[in-house]
Amino acid sequence: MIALAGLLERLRYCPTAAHRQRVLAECGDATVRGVLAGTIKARKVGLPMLRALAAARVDPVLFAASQDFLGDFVETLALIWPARAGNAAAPALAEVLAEMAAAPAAEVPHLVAGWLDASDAATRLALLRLITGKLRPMTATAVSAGGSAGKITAMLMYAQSVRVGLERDYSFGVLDAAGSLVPVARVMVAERDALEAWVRAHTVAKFGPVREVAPGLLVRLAFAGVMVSPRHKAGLALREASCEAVLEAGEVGKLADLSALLD
Amino acid sequence: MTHPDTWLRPLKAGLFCEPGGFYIDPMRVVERAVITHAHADHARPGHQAVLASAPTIALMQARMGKAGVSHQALGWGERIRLGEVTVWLQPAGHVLGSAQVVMDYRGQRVVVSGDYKRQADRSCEPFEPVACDVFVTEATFGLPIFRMPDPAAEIGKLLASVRLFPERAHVVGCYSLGKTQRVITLLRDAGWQAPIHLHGALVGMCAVYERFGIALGALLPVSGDMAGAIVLAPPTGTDAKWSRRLADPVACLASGWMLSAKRARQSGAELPLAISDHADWDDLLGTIAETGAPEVWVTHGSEAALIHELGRRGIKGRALRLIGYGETA
Repeated sequence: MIALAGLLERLRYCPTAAHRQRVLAECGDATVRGVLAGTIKARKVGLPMLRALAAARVDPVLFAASQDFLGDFVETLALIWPARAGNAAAPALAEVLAEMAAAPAAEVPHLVAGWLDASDAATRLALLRLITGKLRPMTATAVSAGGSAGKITAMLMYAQSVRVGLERDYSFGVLDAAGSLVPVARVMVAERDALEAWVRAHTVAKFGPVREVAPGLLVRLAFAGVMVSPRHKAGLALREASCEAVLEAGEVGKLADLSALLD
Repeated sequence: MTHPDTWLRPLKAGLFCEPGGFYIDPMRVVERAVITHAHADHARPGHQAVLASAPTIALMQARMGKAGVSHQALGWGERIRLGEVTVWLQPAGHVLGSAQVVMDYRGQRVVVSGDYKRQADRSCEPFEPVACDVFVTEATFGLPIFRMPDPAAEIGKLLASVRLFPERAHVVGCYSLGKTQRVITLLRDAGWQAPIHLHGALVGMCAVYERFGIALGALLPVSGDMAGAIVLAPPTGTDAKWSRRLADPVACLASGWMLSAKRARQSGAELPLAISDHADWDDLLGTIAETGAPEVWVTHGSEAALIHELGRRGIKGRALRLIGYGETA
């Protein structure tokens, strides 16, 4: 499981298929590769069983606050699982596959809890993804990123303080069919000086932690894909968007419109 | 006995010690400021009189030209009388010079810890707990999902990547003060003896560290395509213009937030490294227990969760809701 966990961590953020191939090539374990390729599958467990495990081990208020922060139940369970001193080593992938297949249903929760106890956070996450059947979609996302990925020129619309930490999120928009700006991505940005300077000088309204800014600042956004999102006025949102660059006056591109994203 | 909530109060400018006539890490310009550490969100320019540890004064001078209109450096544990309050500084283990501010007044002791961590870090003075009546803590990582891994293992991931991709440049995003020097010392301890290349923005802080006796080894500017080399740069992501000449750079980011997959993805880093200069959940609770304080005030971060847990442990918690901290995690 440890090898799988390390590989997953690394694959998740690889920028291109070629780089992923290099990382994968380093792994000589046929079972790990089979699991990643989807040719080997683990017996699946349901979320209610995992919720019961969580409830037995973790204060519900703390669990809810943590899930609220991370936005993902399985990741929350992996990170929050309290360490328990013991001698057991983290299970091998083959052991997990075999024991899960053989165990009577009533035994599965004990089995999973024992493995979680013996593992570190990254290994717990890999284990939970494996037995909830989320491993293949997770790596598939990583592997398929590129098909609909792209870059567009978008305009800064809002800056909002995030509840935890300092960072601010920035919302960027493109033009809809009527020529109005509509938000399509909310992005955390590491290099914030130019954005903050704009926000300071051009805030036109405040709604609690959200500042609306005057239009004018263009950026180049990179994204992994476009997803349908009824919550967005545009009806879609960029997946895994990141701010590549704030465009300077000399290199201002053409502000994208929605049709560019629907291709 | 005078309860601290009558003499230490969160005002708009920051935490104000009334009988001492000073603020701690004020957000606005004030007459008298005691500064816990030199990060920009705690050490702001323009105060009249600044009291801090010697390294903090030096780092503020390197960052802003001067630490205040006037400044005074206080040695570790050295007592000073400010108004009616006895004040001293104790190391906080966050970055070089970072201090806890200890205040004794009418039989009550308050410790304002500033930002702090408990992991071993040879680039700064280690945290030393002080028994107190009220402990004022941050809660940057105040959720039980935040348990920092061994930083040596995180650095091991970086070195493994350098071995796997020797034709690429590895660019580690890290804040100029604290994280940079921590990453350098971790690399040295892991056996990386080759020069480490620094973006210009990181050079000044490293020079102060060396002046205070923290050996960082060979540090060079960025030159050429840096294939096979390790480059440290401000956390600008993958895209800053200057990195375009580097050989297919592997963007790494050293931050405690990298524990969250979502944050890691949003950062754009190819290699997230969960290396933090803040106490994680276990260390927050362990430290609070060590101080023996029956009451804990929380300055910023995930205060609700921490206060909830403190309540379960019979410790009174209070959120100060100080705005403006937490820019460097």
